Amino acid sequence: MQMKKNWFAGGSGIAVSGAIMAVIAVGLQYFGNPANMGLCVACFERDIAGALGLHRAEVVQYLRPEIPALLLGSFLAALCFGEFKPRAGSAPLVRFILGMCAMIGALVFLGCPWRALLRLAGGDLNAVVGLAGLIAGVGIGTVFFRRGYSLGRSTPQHTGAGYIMPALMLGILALLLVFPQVAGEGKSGVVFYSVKGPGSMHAPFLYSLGGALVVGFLAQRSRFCTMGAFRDLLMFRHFHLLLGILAFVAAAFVLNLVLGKVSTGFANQPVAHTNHLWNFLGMLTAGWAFALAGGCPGRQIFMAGEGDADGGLFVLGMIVAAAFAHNFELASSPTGIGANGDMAVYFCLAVLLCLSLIHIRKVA
Amino acid sequence: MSKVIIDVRGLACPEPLIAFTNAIKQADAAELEISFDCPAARDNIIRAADSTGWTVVSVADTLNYTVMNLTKKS
Repeated sequence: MQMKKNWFAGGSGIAVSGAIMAVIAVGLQYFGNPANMGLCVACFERDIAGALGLHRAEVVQYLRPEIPALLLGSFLAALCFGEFKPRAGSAPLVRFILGMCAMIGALVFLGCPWRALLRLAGGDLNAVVGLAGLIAGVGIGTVFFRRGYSLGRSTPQHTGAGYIMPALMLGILALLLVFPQVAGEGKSGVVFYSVKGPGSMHAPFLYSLGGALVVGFLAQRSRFCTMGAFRDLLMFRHFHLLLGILAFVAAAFVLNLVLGKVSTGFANQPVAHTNHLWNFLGMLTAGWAFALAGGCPGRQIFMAGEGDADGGLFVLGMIVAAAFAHNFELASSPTGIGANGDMAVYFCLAVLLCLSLIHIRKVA
Repeated sequence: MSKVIIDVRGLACPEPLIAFTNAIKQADAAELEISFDCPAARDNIIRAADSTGWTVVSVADTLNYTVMNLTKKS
């Protein structure tokens, strides 16, 4: 029989997609994004929260166009291939809170799984500790899935409902274009900018926009998911998604070598700290939250682009939590973890345990 | 020999795949019909079917969801 084939979802498709995404990410670093931060969903949503004044950490304020572009790229791919399906209603508030826990954990580690892979490809060995934490967190999540954990069904929504997240993303791009950065100034109109620190480092607008649009498009088609790679391996012994992230790391590493950007070790890595315990626990928290929500932070953005309003709420939860993370001193910095980062992780772990237990619907 | 019908519409990854793997474990399952709407589920189920001795016989898309029929390879 004839079947609609999706080349991108095959073995070579996901490997090629992963490699192209890595080249774009390392390219964005080369053209101005912070080191080992060519694409970082957590960092960039945190920068957006800062640019909007939701937190006032002066070194991390920029309306990163990559986030809107990732979502819009996925939106375009979903529209082109008939996969734009507006849906919502699968425990929305729980997903918002899972997004918050994920962001708080990611900011204790200093990066989402995407950045963990980019840090690894740049020789930052702290990323190994973070990835171990991520795998442990995903592993905890799979234990609950095996026992019947489910956030329940979403239901189809009016087409217009699926346009809300893409419209919000266009709003972010509009703010950036209407109030562009003024050299040396910390504010332009209503938008905050960093004059120093990672928030001041960014690739030219069109590079960020174009690169991330391609990444969003490829990720939607290939189903690339950093959390899913480990989940599928642990739950189903499927190596498919893992192939994507292996290609991603390999391509990023080779390109970093060519550009002379590999510096191997634990100490003095860009926008990173060397506290192994909290690198591990931060990412464990994030990994558990991603697993419970069914996707890494990139995947949540891509699902939101496909019309999944619940994925959109996870994204908004991450942005709100980024504000708390900086206002309440939960986020780490290169000097170490935040004053209240440890308590925040304990609290999030307790929340995740409660949410895991109350959503077990049947005994497997 | 019986036909197993599973409806995972509205459920997101990895639940469609969990439902599929649980269903094909039923000893007498020879035919299976699965309804889903998660875009990633289509590729996941086709791949899982390939590796577990099942063949996709039909895929029908409606506005909001997809119905896939599979049979066990003899």
